[in-house]
Amino acid sequence: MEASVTLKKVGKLVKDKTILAGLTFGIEKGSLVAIVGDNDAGKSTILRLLAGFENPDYGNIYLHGLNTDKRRLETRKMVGYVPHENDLDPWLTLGQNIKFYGNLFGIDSQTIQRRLDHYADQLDLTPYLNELASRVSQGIQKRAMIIRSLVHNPDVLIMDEPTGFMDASSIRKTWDLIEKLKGDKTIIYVSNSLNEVEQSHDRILVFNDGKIILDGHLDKLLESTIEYHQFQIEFEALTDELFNHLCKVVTVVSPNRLGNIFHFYGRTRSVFFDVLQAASGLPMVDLNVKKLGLRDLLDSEFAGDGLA
Amino acid sequence: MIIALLKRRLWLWQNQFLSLLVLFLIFPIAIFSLLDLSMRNIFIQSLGNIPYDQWAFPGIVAIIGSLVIFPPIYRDFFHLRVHGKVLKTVALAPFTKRSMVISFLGIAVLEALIISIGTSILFVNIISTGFTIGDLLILYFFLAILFCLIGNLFISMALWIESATSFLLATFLTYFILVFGSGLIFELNYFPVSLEFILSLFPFSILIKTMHLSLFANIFEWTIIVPLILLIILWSAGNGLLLRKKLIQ
Repeated sequence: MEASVTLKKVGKLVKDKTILAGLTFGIEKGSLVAIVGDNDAGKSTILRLLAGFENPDYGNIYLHGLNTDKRRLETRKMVGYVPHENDLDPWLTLGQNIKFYGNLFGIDSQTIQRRLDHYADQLDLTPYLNELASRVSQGIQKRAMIIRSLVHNPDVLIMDEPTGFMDASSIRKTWDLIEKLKGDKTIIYVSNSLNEVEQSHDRILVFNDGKIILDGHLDKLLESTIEYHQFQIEFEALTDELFNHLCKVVTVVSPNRLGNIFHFYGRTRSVFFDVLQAASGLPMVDLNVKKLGLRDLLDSEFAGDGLA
Repeated sequence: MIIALLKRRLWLWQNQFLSLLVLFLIFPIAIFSLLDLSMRNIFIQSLGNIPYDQWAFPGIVAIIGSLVIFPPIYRDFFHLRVHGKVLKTVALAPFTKRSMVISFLGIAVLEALIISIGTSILFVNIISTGFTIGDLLILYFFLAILFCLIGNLFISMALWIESATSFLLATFLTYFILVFGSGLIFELNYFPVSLEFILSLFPFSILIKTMHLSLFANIFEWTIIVPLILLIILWSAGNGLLLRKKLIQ
């Protein structure tokens, strides 16, 4: 697939601290890419560099093959950016904020109005368009910022916490819109809401200390990095002898105990039956089987050695 | 970009129309009452024997315009940069930082000129200035240069200074020098010789002296006007570089 965004050895320093360390990767056109990681991992910084909001200290960024530093004015037209903090002009209405941005990009008034009506309808923003930005909630401002980033019809949409401050209904509408835009636009976003990331992505980049430590679709990442299932069996009495016995089941991975609860991982669901067999009729209080998700992936990855 | 900024300025006026209208009606009357009405009893006429009302008229209009230019520059280059981060997002539009500075400055100068024109028309009708339409056009030409200089100074200050207190103190000092130390409401000859010499070196003082010469003696000092225009161009370019450095873009 054709690359929409390419980074070559991109780095960012703040004083002596390395925020991003020589990143090299490409993002396919029309894909939906989520960036996750701990606080201070460099997620927002990479978005700011991609949006042209800040310059990298070294390395090059290419949008559709154009160097963003050397072809600055051309590449800026290709990008729509939604920052994490609300940055609307507080003394303009939401509608005026959006139109102002369209005017800055030289879009004619009719086209701006058409796009504004279209997206405002999708994000349920129409009733608020004539309200001053300073007088509406942050969630409503965020929806206006998303429309503002789309008004010049960019090829690449970069969003920092796209559903930040939003209520449940707005979150659903925003993700509906993002899913519709996917394919036509390359979308790169940062989110701390791992449930949302699990639902909406073609690819996840996991950042840690300014580096990408995992890269791929969630299923592939789970398959290649940690086991698929998490099990919990609560016994009436989990003796040390029983615990040690269960730990010896060869298909059991990372066994652990918490009181009378035996906690372990397994590559397949059948591991559960191996343990049941080993427990051979001892009284049990509760059973729990769970498919692992992004949270578990991050926990295992940031724990250091992972599960194995 | 200038069209987008012009539309935005109109929207801002529209959103706070009543409060701004009241302010801009009270503003010239207050400045005129507090400066001209008191000073005319002290100075009566200029050192060149021109009636004080007539001599001070360009200065009073210049002061009003200079005060009008401050809010849009403070808003865009200081408040919305330091507190709102709006400027950084606006800077993502496909324009160079130099054209951004020139566009923002152009709009602020235009606004100050419109208010100055309105004020001058009002004053011409209430005091005997003896100014013809030709004189007024010359006055507006000089005012445009003055506003570009002051605007560039405020932009440099707004980009350089990060604390609101320091910025406001620097602004008060600038206005203090502009009003009392540049020959707008009384001539620099009233100062001790050494201080007069220092004050006469300031670009504002040079421009205002040239404006008075043009308006009251019909002498156009192009050798002074052209370098001042060059200074404005260079200063705007410098502010463009400063903006780029500040925004790290």
